[in-house]
Amino acid sequence: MPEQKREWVVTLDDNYLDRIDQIVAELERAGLRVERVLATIGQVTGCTTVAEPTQGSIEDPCRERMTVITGVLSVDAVRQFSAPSPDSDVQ
Amino acid sequence: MTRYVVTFDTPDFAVLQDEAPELLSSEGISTERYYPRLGIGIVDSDADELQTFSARCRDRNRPVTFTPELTYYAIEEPSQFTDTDQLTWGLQAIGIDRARDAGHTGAGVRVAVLDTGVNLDHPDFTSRGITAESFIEGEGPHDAHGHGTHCIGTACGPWETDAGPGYGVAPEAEIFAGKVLGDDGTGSDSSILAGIDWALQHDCQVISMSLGADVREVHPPYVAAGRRALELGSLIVAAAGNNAQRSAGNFGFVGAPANSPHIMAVAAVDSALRTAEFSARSLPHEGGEVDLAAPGVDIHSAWTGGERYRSISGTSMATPHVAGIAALTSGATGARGQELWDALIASTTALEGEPSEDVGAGLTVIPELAEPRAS
Repeated sequence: MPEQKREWVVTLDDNYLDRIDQIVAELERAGLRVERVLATIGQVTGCTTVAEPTQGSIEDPCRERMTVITGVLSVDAVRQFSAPSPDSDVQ
Repeated sequence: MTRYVVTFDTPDFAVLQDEAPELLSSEGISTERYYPRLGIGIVDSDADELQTFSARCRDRNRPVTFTPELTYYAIEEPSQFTDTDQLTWGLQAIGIDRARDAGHTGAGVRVAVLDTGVNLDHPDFTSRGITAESFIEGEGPHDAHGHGTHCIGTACGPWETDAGPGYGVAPEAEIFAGKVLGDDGTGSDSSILAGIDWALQHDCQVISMSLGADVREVHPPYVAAGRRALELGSLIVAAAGNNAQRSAGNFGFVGAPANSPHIMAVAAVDSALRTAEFSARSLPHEGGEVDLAAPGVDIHSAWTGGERYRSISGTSMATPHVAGIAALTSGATGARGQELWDALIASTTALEGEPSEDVGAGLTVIPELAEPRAS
């Protein structure tokens, strides 16, 4: 079955910032391949791979598992940002 | 009913004093605002009634004229700045002389510009100690795009150069160039948030982000990042967005991350201090407001790829003006985080005719700063 890679930003609750390493371990157990641990802003970025759903289901078991970890405030899909092309009149 | 100015056309003062008001009253017209010394009254009436009145006065050999009241306006010099050999119009508009006269250069303040990196070979920056780091896999911190260099130039570039106008607000601020957008100009949360984290690790007082996504929804990671940055004494300023086409009636909206509650959103004005054609308008939710405006049309600054300077427009250009002003203010007063946010809002000039949905508190300007004490 084809796999889909998804990128996530996990935001930690204020009260758990000092336990970030512990939470990172739990995120990995939940299926997150951790890319960056941003200790100062209390966030972890990484990706999960999920089998491509055949019926178009939007449920992501990895995300569900990450969300319920104690100390996780939110799990959000990564967004793309940009600056306009250099030749554009408006930057 | 319209307001009219009725004038009794006679030099005879006795007529003006006594007869004229009687004529008005007998017509049912109030004499409350009739001025006998002038023979002039301001009345609420209509053309038909006054035609009748005028005919009656003519019959009595007491001619009157009447004309609709005019509204008058104070005559002001329209604001219009222009680049000179010495300074860009943007630096003039923000009152750069206040910083120069008081000797405030941003020295001792760390400004992180999270963008496409920095042109490390630029002649205006070779003597500056720039800390540059890339958060884009496979790319170093050098700016191949130009955008990042241009923004760094506006925020921290020189007041004087040997080849054109001075174009930087805080010429001695310490520059932290974080490459969070690739050479193609795009980047994701992972790189941007990593850049913010890096800037906080280096205790930067100001983080400038001339980047955005045209999404109305607040992106949750930036709520937490912005709040934590403020708590740690770092102010994040971001571009409001260029998704408006005002001449076509589209006012756009503040995109992410500027629409986040703990991140300042900066709009762009042109050299006549009018909201720029492309500058995005406030969103109704908390945090979605435009906070400030700054020069953002035809802004001359440094570029890359052998092109020493370029003049471009965008809320991307307005943002580093505010970042530079924040650096000068922090350097002079020690203000950081929320205190610095408040100081910037207080240091604005209201823009006549520009609604707050477009310009927030107004044009950000350099405040009066006490001269640095001799150490």
